[in-house]
Amino acid sequence: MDIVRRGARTLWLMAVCAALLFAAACGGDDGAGDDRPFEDNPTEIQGVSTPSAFPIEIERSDGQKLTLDGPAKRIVSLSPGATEIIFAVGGEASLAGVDKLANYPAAAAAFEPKVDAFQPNVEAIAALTPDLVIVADNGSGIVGNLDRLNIPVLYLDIDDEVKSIDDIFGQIGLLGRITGTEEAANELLVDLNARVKAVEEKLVGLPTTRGPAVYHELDSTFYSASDGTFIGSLYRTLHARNIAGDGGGVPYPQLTQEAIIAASPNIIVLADEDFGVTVESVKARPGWSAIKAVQEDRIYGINADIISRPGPRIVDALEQLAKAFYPNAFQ
Amino acid sequence: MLELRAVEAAYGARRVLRGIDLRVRAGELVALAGPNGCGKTTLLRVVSGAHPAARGDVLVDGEPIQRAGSRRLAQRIAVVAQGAPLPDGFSAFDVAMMGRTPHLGLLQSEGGRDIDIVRAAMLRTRSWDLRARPVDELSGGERQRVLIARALAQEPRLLLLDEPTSHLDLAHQVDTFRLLRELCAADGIAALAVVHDLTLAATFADRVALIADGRVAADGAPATVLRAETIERVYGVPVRVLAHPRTGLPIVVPDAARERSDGAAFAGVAGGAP
Amino acid sequence: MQIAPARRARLAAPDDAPPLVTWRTQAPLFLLAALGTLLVALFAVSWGTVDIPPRTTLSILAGHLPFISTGEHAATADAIIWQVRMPRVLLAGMVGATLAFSGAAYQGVFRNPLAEPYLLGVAAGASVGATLMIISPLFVVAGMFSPVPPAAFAGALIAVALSYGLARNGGSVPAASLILAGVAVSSIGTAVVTYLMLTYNERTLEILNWILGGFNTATWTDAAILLPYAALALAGIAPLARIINVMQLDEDEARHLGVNVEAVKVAVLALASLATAAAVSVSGIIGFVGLIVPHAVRMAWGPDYRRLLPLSALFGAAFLILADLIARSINPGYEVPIGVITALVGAPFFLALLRRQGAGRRPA
Repeated sequence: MDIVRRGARTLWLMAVCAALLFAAACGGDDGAGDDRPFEDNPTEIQGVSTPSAFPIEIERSDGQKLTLDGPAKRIVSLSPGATEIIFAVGGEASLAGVDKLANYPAAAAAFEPKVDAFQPNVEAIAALTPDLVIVADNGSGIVGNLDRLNIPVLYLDIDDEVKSIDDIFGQIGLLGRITGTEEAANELLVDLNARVKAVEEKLVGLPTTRGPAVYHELDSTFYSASDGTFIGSLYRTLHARNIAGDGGGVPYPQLTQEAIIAASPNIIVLADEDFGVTVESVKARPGWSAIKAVQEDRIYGINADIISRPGPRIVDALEQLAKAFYPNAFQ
Repeated sequence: MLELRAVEAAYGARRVLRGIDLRVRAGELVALAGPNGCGKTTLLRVVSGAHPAARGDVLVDGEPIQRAGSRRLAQRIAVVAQGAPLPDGFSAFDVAMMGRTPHLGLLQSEGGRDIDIVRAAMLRTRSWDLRARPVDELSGGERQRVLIARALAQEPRLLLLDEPTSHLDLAHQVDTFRLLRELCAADGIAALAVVHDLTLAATFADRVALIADGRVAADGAPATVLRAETIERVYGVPVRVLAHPRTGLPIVVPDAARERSDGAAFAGVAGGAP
Repeated sequence: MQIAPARRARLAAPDDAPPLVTWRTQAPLFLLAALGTLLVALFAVSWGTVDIPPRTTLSILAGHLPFISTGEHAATADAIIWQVRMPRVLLAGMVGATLAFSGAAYQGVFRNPLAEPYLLGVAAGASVGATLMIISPLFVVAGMFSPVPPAAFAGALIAVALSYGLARNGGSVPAASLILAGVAVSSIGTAVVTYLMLTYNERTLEILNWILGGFNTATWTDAAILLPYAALALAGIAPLARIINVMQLDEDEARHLGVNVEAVKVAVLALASLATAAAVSVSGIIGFVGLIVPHAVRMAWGPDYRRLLPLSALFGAAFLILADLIARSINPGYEVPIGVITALVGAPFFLALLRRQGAGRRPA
């Protein structure tokens, strides 16, 4: 699971914990609650950017304007998704630091120096003399700290700005422009778009209502991803019905166990195999034998990083799931 | 009943009792008096088993108290402590009933016999009418009567009281001591009470033991112990001891006239007293 | 403290002894409370995200009793009632009973109304144990049975033993030292957990999920794990209620009445801590129950531990079952952390009781 994704929920839970344990409100910013669309999206729908010159003006998730007069040369990326994108577009020369959970590609895993995105240390970041810091989660208040040091911050909140595959493509285009690798970014986007289109074409004619019901498991206490997240958009693309629905207004809700059993999803997708959940352990859960996916043996594990991280590999996730969901169509 | 032989006790390095010899016979009310810090309360604690004696023997009915378990000890010795806190919300009856604790097995509930004993104890201490009242609503005198009722419910042979009348008005002081007298006389209970008011002690006690500096300075009938020179030696203040016009019992009053004339000398002695 | 209604009745009673508080005289009250708790439990089992008619629910429950056949039921309804809701309600009830009962017992031996079952470090110790397990490789390879509950249990017991060891001074363990030691051990535990969460932040969510607790994943196995400890605490402490009453005097007074204060203290704390550790290990750390339920019972029925302990257990069960019911039905299909509910429902309820009690005090 992506550190940033994890971070936002974690901080929200921390706030709850703090409030409960110490009976005092903790200043944890949940990073959500701002539904303003990404108005200043400088890219076209599929993310392929129009050739445009600097300066680039971007409206951040906190409403502040960020203006870049030229390509960034020393980027500190606190988002593993953004790090993956920058490596994918060949912009790694512009990187001055990545967060310590960056593990893909191998070059990113080997990249030094690394910083902690979960509890970012503003001094450690400033010491890298960045000309741009990429932040996807401001739960720790790092954006304000960097602003005070006049370090430019590209703050695009993962919950607010990344709600679909297209939003991820938009970020690919944007990061391509920022790192001065527009061409490579556009090539990547053409390729990714083609792969998405290929999946979509095979599913043409499948009415959404007849698609499989799917339960996406983030952890063993039944946290899931709602329709309003980019994970949810993946399932929409696959004509699958996500049983987490709108999440009751929460992007990553905890589902009640009996609701999962009652929904009896056709397919269960496990993004929590890293935490010891296995196909076997799911089958062994008391009462779960009443679920179609268990009866029909349609439980699939997926690498949490590729599906929970807003990076180019989201298309890998889409293809893997498409094959699992429609084995006949994807021989 | 109670016998102390060369009892010594200490708190850490501080020696508080330095060899106490004392006897209390059944049916006897003995008043313990002496200046603050002389060891009276420690003496009571040693007898009740709350504080260990460093040396010497404390015998109850000829048996050393260390040998009796705490429960058997509580069947014989009841303690009415000074300013003992009473738990909010419990009724006077509940608190008096707690006196039955040493007579009940761990898993045993109180029965009809226990009720009879507690009723008798509360009637004697005139606290039966208070039985349904929460103890936190009782006055000082009422609390003291309930505490003595609880002690009686233990059916003790020996009653230890630490300043039982210190917060009571005159009427309640007299009341409490009359009750103690009656208990000793009628039930053969032995009572050892720390008393500050020497006149009160003289009026009601069979014997007065004056403690000074961890030792028994004088012990005997009130009229023999409560002499002006003895009291002045122990307390370091000038006093006059008068005789009650009818009973002849000693009445101790500060000697204001001498206090004024040679107060300095006595202040010096008082300052030197521990 | 306000005169409880029962006491008022005594005032008007004829000139005879007030009724004794014994198991026998209190049986009607306990039975009534048990019946109420049972009804709450039944209601909670029949109510949920999925609409299953009460008749079907009862029929399914009866069908699982030996020698009773109520015919076939839909597999889904059966799974939901018998495999999900029943263990969930049962576990919530057992945890609520354990926490409230242990809280009352702690308050009794500490003679402190602010004592609660996490006072000696159970929660912090369990968190350390659970956290260490979650970040260890064992967590991933364990398979069917989660290794987290045993680790939490061990952590909780180590923490309590540590508090007790630190507070021990010769033969006795003064209550004030014990409370201070518990606070210190809890702080250390919390610090360790915080450090580990930040260091292993890829696992932070798992750790926080565990700490927040809840009953969404409750199974019959969880209930079976807790049962012996809860039963042991109940069976071991309830008979000491009369002695705990005596300990409400002060410790010296209780000794003068022949009570072996240290032994009772150790026995009660050990049993209550053991049960609390077991409860925490299967449900996470659920606050407020152990503190407010005994208080509420005390306000309504007075301070006698022979009433307080059994009623705390029963009302603790009912309270947590209801809190969990709210947690799973406030946003149907989705969960709200139960700690939020116990705090949001429990605290105002408690404050209301407090105010009522204040208003009912005798005129000054």
